[in-house]
Amino acid sequence: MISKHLIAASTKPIILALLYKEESYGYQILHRIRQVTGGRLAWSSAMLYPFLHRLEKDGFIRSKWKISGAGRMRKYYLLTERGRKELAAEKEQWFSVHDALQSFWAEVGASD
Amino acid sequence: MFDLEKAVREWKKELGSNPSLEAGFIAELEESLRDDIEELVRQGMPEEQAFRQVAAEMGRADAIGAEFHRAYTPRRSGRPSWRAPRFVPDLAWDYFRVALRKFKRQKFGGLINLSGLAAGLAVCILISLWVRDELGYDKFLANRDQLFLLTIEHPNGALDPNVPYALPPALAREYPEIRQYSRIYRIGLITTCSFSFQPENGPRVMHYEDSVNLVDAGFFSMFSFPFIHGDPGSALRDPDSVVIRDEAARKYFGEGNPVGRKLTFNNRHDLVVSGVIHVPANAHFRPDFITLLPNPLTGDWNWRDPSYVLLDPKVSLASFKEKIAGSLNKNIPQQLPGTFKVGLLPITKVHLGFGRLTYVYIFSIIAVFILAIACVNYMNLATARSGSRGREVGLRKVVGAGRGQLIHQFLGEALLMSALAFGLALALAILLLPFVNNLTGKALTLFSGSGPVLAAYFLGLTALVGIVAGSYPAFLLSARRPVDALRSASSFRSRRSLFRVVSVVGQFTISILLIASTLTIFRQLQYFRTRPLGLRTEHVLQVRYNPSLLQNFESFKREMLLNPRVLSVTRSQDVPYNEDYKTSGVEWDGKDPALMPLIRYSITDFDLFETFGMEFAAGRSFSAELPGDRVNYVINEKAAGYMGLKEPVGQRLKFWGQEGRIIGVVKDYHHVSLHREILPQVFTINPRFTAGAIKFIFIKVSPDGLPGTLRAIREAAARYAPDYPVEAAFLDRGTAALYESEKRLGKIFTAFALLAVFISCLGILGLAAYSAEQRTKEIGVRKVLGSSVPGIIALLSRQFSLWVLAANLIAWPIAYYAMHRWLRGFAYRTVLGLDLFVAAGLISLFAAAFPIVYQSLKAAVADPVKTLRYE
Repeated sequence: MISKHLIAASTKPIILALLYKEESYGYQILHRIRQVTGGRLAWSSAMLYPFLHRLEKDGFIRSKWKISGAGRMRKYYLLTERGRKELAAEKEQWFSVHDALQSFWAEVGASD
Repeated sequence: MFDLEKAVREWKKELGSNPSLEAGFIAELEESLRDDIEELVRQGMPEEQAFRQVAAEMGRADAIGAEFHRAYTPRRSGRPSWRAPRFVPDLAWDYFRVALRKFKRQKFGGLINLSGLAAGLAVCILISLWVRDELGYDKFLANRDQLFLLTIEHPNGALDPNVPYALPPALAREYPEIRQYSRIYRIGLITTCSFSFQPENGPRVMHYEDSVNLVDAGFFSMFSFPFIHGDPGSALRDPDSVVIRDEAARKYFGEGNPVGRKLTFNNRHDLVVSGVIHVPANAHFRPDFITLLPNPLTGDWNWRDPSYVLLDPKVSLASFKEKIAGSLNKNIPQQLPGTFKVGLLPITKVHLGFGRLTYVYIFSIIAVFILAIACVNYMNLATARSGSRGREVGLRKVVGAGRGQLIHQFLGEALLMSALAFGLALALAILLLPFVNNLTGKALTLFSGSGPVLAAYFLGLTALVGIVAGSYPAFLLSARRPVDALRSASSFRSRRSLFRVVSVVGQFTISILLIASTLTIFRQLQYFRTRPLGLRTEHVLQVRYNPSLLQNFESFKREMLLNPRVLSVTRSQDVPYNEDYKTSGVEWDGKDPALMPLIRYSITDFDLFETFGMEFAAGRSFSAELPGDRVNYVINEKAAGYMGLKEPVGQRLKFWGQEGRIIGVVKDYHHVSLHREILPQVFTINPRFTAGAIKFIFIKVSPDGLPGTLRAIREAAARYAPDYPVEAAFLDRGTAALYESEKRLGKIFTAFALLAVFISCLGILGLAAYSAEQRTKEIGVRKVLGSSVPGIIALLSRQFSLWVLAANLIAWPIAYYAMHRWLRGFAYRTVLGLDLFVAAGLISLFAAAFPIVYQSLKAAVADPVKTLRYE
């Protein structure tokens, strides 16, 4: 089980990365995350939608309503220019954390 | 059949109720919901189940709404704008103002509430102080956890604080668990003890002393009384040294350090003061004089005095108790009738161990009861008055107050009230403290010792009272729907609440209980006073006997009798009603050899029966003309029955091995208050026994010219015994002292009962006032239609009277049971008649009737023109 804090911290880069290639809507985002992580990152819709709204308010993504094939309205989200920059910054930060952890794990492994 | 569209519509409607969920947001969530459901249905789940599962996963409207709100608000834990803040400073001020305004507007109700709470709290404060003092006895002793009093449980279950003198040494020899032991030989209680001190210049200081105690050498290593002068380790090293309590030392030596000074005991034996101790007021044993036991007493199996043991801290108490339980029967040379179980009582429990704990319980319960009555009154008045608060509640709710806020407001009001009441109660307690101290013989203070603990306790008490008293009105008032509250200010005031009935009946039950108890106590006291004791103590003077008087007693007596106002002179071990010396050393013809008799004995002299006006059932009194009477005996009626003697006069009797004849049977007389049963008793005037035992001379004088007679007697006593102090007092005061504790109890219960009745009446006064106020219009209409004033009074008082009657029915059996048990503690007691309960009931009814009739009368005589225009 991944801790609440880690999930909260990783939500932003994951969503931004997800929207990097193509626009998407809420249900699809949830679906993809479940697929990619094999269900280990359990997001609920009650958590995702408010978060999408916050990202939109912060200007990292924007949304538009589209009519889907079945004639239903869907709200799609796409990355903005600011979002791209933010994603790059996030990526950098996560890499530094990742690097730091990597070297520390090595030490932990050596001492075992 | 499940309709998905309908279910989704309902779901959307619920989401829509949350202010932060805009239509667009809901649409987005709806799409997500539908996608999820489709997916699940595709997997084979029924539509209805899929809907429920997905909707549940998405959560409730306010949870999602709060999330969305947080997404749009810059503050992290922002409170949604539509939710009232938990604390609004401006409102707090408003609450305070409203509370004050309400109090001012309804001075009457407010004052009733305030005085009721204050009286209840004051009693609670005073009782708390008393209970704390009672529970704190002997806690100052350093060895308190290892120090025990040896006790004996008699075959009849009675716990005896005294053990034979020979028992502690025998136990200490056998059990290494006992590190120290000390017997307390209370010599001052059995012989005259006087001390004198001759200062270098000035007259001799002489006093008789009762608290003179011979102890074992280990005494001060067991009892850590603080030494003002001297050293506990060496104070009792010398058999001629004496340790004095500070107050006693002051009588003889004034303020200086008396260590090393010479104190003469009974004008014969010089003792050297080796220490001065201070004994805290909350010690159960407060000796004035302590000196070493001159005799090991290892063969003395009489028991009259207490003994203490100091145990090794490692000893398991339970198993040690088991070991020593049978030690008395095992060690004592005689055959005991039954098993006398030796036990240990922790030193801190000794003070409360012999019946006093019951009073601590009773008073604590009374304190809680009285406080409860006061709280319940507050609740009643607050809810009764709530009619007038209805509009306020309604309006507050309309402009956005939540229930929580209203609860806080009303609780706050109650807390404010209890804080005010506490201030008043504190003042009241300070005022009453001298009376309480007088009544209890204690020196309780409010501001000493463990101040912070007490302050915290009082603070907690105040908060508790505020919360308890405020909770019911707070929850009741805040629960009203604004529409109801606004539509009619009186929508529920006419509803007769069960709570109100129960509370009024409950508090009157308590009041009646207390009244009935008070009446019983007084009746028992009355019974004491009027019951013939079998002896007369009026105009009998008690003079302390001393060795000098002993030598010249006959001439002293002769000289006394020359005074025409002196009617009779005798001497005895103690005042006849006060002595309680028992022995088994009595034998008579036809006695069952296996029987170990328990017989009270009196060592006295000629003219005892004449001095005390005791009557004879058979035979005659001792006669000075018959020298043979010195070895003869008088017994009482009880003894004649006990010994099974049909014709006791002339029978042989052996007392402590001395054979004589029974010459008379005196009528039974009462002993040491009526708690005790009359026991078989033997009177002897044998000089072999009188020598050390006599403690008092009794002189019956004629009632006229008392001051002169008293002066003459004092002057003669001083002349015959110039080296001893003169102590003479009339006995009447002594008999009064016999019932001191019952009298005290009577006073305390009177105070409690008055208070309970007072608070209950305050409550009923308030309720009657509001009930009359509510029915103002009804009364107006009734009057217009021709109802009479008495008719209206009857109408208004009927309900309350019924409540009080119900309270009587509940209280009577409880009071009967409780008082029956209390009276069982007296060997001679009054009967519990129905009249007593009826009287208690009538008192309560009258007490309740006063405020009711007063209020009803006020309502009934009011001008109907005005009352109908009211509101």
